[in-house]
Amino acid sequence: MTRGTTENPWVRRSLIGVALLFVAIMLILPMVLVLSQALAHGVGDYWRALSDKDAISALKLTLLAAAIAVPANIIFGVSAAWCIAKFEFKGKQLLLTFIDLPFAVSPVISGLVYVLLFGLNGWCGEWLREHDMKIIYAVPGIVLATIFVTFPFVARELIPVMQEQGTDEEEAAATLGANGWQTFWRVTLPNIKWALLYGVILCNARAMGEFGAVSVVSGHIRGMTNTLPLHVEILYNEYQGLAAFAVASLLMGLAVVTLILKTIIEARTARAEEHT
Amino acid sequence: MSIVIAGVSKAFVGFRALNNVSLEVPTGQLVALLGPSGCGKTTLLRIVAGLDTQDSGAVLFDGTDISQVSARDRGVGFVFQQYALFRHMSVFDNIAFGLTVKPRRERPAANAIKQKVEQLLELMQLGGLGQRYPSQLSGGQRQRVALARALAVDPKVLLLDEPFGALDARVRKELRRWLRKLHDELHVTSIFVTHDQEEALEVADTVVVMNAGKIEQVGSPDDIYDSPASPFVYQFLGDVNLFHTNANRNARAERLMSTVYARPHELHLERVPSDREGIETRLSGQRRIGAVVRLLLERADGGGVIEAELTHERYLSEQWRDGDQVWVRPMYPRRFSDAVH
Repeated sequence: MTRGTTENPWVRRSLIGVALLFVAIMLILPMVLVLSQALAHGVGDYWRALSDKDAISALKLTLLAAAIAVPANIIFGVSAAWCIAKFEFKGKQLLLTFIDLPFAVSPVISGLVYVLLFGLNGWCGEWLREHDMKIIYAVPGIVLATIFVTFPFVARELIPVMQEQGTDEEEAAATLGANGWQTFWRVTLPNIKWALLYGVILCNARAMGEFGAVSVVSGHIRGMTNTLPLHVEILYNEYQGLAAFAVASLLMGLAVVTLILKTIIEARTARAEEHT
Repeated sequence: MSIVIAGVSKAFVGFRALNNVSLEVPTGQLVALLGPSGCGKTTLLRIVAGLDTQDSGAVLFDGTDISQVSARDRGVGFVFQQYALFRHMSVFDNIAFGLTVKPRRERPAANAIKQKVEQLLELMQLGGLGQRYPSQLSGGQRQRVALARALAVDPKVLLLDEPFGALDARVRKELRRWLRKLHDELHVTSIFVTHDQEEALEVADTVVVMNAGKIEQVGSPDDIYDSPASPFVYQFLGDVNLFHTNANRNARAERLMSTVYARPHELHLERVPSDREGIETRLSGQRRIGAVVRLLLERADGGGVIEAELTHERYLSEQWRDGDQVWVRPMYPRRFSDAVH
């Protein structure tokens, strides 16, 4: 190391110390608190809070919303990334901007847009009522809002990877007689699998954790349109601290699993890059 | 299979890549498309392969217009400049790819594929490397895998885009000769793109010199080198000295207002003025490059510097010193009318 980049060891130590202290107070302490509150009255009460009928229904709805939103965004994300990375066309920049829209807009606003569109007094409200369909304050609305907020994750993860890889391998596959489907499954997908998985994990975490947009369209009907994050809020507002923390610990568990998977994939990608 | 390119034009945004290009490649020939970068040679190759589409004109294989046929149905083998090997597949799977994606009824049995790949590995001197991944190979080995992969489907036409462009000089030379040998064994009609005139002259049966989206000259390597059709071809094939006739005392040539072209190794250098017309110069610099010595000769009439090349042997025996007076006369002067430019 040169003189210019070496710091006084005390400066270095205090910088690291500040960073660690910050992480401990802002990130680790809350997690420990959630867990300790959830288990404050023992495992029995913790388990009872989780097996409550409404909590299970909220868990089911959260899983359902993620189970629809994640595959939908995989299909959308892969196709969007494919056309952005592999083709030249007019309006490409515009498409890229639109993909980022859900990151830019407050989730509450996006929920409100759906209410305006599909709500009773919304644009399609009358038509929906005539055909006996319910979107707002019902499961379809929750799924729609979840898809909206998780829209960019897969596409954003894939676009740079696919752009960097270029179209050479696909062109080689074409001259060797492979059709589009074969090219995708045998050439493109294996090259993007780690980036795709990474995007899917982030997308899934957000899908299960989303609060704002879902809160607007859900209507908070217990046992019907409550997702896990919404259920936590309701329980907390009703002074059921123990139950609220118990359900929250589920979401926290999800976050920890996500982080572990993310670390594993990052290590794999780094190794795959060393290979090429 | 013979290839005919008939009046092909192609424009990209704000740039004409090909301007009404026509070319015939007879069956079994090895043709080089030679030109500086941006001359349209790669675009032409990609149009023949079906990877790009021409704006107008046609490409014919054996007399049949295949302009509407997609790349995957053209039956061409294409070797990419950066190899474009499938990075997540072993060498074996790379070479077998073209066979394994065939529709079920045309696909060879697994052991037939294995046999074919082994045979190609042998032919490409890649024996024993089948289970390696592309990242574990040297540049020259990757290039041969790319070639084997293209040959596995028995292409009727082989197209190579700067096949040796990314290799170091020694491997380049080796692979070049090896490609020529391979072509003599397989006789598949081949076109390769290069910007290296030495490569084109050494390997090809026919050299096509391209410039700015047009073909400048088509001919055998000897034709191209000995009778270049234009100043561009002359200059592109090697170093050159220009003698503008207005700086020359040759009165007859002056009336034609032409420029004389001569290669550095094709100059008579005389230490005493002879009765023939010579250009008076003074030796102002010398540099040895292996077996040759390059002399810089400053013209006495202020017309610039002439570059001459001598064998090292001759250089030593004649004892050249800076400041020596030298009279220069081109051995094979070539004239191109200035009006051409």
